[in-house]
Amino acid sequence: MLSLKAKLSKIPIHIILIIYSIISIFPFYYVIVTAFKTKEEIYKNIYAPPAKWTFANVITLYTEYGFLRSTINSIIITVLSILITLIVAVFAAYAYSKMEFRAKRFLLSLTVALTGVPIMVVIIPVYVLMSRINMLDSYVGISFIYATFMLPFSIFLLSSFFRSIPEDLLNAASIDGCNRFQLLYKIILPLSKPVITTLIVVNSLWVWNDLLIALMFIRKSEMLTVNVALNSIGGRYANNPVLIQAGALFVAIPMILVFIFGQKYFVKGLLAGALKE
Amino acid sequence: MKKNYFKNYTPYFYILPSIILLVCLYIYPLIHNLTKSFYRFSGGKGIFIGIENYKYLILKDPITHSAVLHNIEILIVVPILLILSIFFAVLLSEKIRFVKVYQTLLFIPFIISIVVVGLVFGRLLRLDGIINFLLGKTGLGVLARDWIGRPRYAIFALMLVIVWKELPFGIVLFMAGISNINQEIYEAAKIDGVSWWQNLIHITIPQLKSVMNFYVVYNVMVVFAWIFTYVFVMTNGGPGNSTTVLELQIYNLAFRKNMMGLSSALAILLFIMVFIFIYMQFRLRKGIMEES
Repeated sequence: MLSLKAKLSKIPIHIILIIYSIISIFPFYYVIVTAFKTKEEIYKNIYAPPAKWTFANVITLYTEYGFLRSTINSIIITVLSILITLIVAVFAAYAYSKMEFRAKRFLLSLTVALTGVPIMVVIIPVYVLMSRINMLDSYVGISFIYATFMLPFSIFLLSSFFRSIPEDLLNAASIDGCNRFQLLYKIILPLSKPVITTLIVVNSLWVWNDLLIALMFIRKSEMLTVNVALNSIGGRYANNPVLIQAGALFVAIPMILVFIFGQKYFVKGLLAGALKE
Repeated sequence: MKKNYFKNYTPYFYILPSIILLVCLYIYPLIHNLTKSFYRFSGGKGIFIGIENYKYLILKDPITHSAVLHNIEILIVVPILLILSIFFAVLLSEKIRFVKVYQTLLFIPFIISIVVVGLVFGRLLRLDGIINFLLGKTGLGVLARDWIGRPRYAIFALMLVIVWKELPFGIVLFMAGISNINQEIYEAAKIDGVSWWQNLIHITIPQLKSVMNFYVVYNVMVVFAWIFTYVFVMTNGGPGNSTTVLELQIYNLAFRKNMMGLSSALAILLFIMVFIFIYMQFRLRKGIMEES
């Protein structure tokens, strides 16, 4: 039982944390209250909740500004790129963690070292290459680009997890007649659900929120992702803040949901790169 | 015998797709940039000019010089992030209630896209925005100004947003670091009657040394090579060139000025810088592993 004095000493800590929490969520609060105001109210009442909530902005956004199509594009690109990364990374990590071959250590450390290479250093030649082979404005093209940028981290995380799976377990299964491929999908993958969830959460956040790659590799308006669409609405209709904030809200909400449901996995993924081998 | 021969090559089939993709997206572009960096392009034709592009960028180009200076100026966020994240991590590691609630709320900035953040702060930092309003209310009205529209202050607006958005990662990192500290050290100190402050200064902070090293190098890397989207969304390098940074300069040279040779050379220079940081980080991470 804490003494009263000990309890009181915690009050300043709570005050500081409450202030910081407000600073953290205030912009998001601003997005919500603005998105549901009328265009007229915004000039009289900037920060308080709307006197009368309206869904007109959201409806306009989705019907007249192509936001529905952009949302679908973003979902397709996020899902497709994560699928590609997972498939490619699982096979690579399996080999790096459970098989012996020449140059293994070198190839794995080279792969992991690529995590830190800035996108801007490599992206322009990729753009030139992709436009030459007509892969701009393509779901598959851009998904492969995202997938590849996620590979170094994904291979790193998966191979260190696979390494922790005991050899005895795999030996027993292979005595029972499992071949290499069956070992992977009957034993290793079912055990790897947590680490795969971590990768899905961290990677979907990155792909959904990315601007640079989507900006370069998508030119057609019907192929835009939500962030590029929002960025251009923000630039073109700067005098229409309610529309902009309605867009901002619906770009943010999916990731807030992903974060709320996957918080534990997300934090694990962030720390994996920094604290553990 | 034949089966064995095949077996020896199987691992390579497993890693082959990843190698192909990584070569296409990392190795090929680096080689491409390196070759292009020795050429000048005009009318679709390349003329070999040796290291002239590098010489121009390093010795002459005023925009590149100011871009580097802006990156260096933004480095101010590194100590700010370090101090604030240790401060909040220490508070959140006290045995208090609602830690999970605070942790969730303060994580929101980290998961919202920079485009959204830029559009919101664009409003909040206007002359009639809430930040100037609060400055006025707290008697700091003299500080109120058009933060994004004025060349001298736009970079501070950028730094504010970078700190606001990047801080949660640091807090989580140091919270994990604190929870990894051996509790016996604190118990021994408790017997000696050590105060809260002494605990912090003589035990917690020294024990976090390797995490601090990692975090500083990580943030230096972020400031030099991962802030394109902040700048592009919030100021697009402006007003004038007052917030152009290295990454934006690479982008502008390629897409707005069509100077591929210079853009490639600058990309190579940035790569060399980052390579040095990665090497440092690798050494530091090794240090963390050896300690734990």
